[in-house]
Amino acid sequence: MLEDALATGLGRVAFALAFTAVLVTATGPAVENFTLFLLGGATAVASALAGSLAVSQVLEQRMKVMPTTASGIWLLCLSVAAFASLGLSLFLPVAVDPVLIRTVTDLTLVLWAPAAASGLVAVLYYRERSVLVLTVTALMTTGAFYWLLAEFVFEGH
Amino acid sequence: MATAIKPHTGIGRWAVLFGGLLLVELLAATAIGMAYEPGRGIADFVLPYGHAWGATAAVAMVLGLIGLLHYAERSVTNIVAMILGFLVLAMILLPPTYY
Repeated sequence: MLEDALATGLGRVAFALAFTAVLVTATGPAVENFTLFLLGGATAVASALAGSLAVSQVLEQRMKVMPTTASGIWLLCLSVAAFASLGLSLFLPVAVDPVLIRTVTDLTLVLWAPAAASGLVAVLYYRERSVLVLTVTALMTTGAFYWLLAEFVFEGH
Repeated sequence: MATAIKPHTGIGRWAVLFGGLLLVELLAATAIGMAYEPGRGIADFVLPYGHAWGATAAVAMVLGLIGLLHYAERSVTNIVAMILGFLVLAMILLPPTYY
């Protein structure tokens, strides 16, 4: 199936994007440029999307907009909550209780991770083929991976 | 209906996998922490480094909950993983009044 997906136009685009993402992501920390690192993340999201669409094309699956599985619905709800928490943590005034800031920041992390996991379960295990779920899963999973990676490659920042 | 030990759905297996990972993380942290600072309890090592296993705990809890609510996953290991995730999350997110 992977060979068939790579033979399609979308598959080749996904491969090229993945290769670019690896290069840009590795270059970012090497030259201490965080924007380049984030650009690598954005390229990885585009690659994941193109790749999953290529696989759907090969399997001749009909794409829907809205999720059809319970995991897909949970992914969307958790993602909305995670982004709301992230927005709140960014716009909280500096003068508020530091414990509140820490709790809201931790809440973003503990909402983001299960959102990515439920999206992956929906797409990989329950064969969810919703454009919305594929897009949000690619975004949340790559976001979680780059978040974790940044903790190591930009240590102390 | 007899309650199974092992999960029978895909999401249940994922929840148990993350629950196991969480347990390993907690035990490793406690073992390493107690080797360096003997005499202190598990909470002293679990709470200050909540970022490290908060994500694993949240995944175990949410996947366990989805399995329980939507996929009739009522295996013992799934419920244990869910409760463990919930307890660790509660420890991390509640304000650290003991400091």
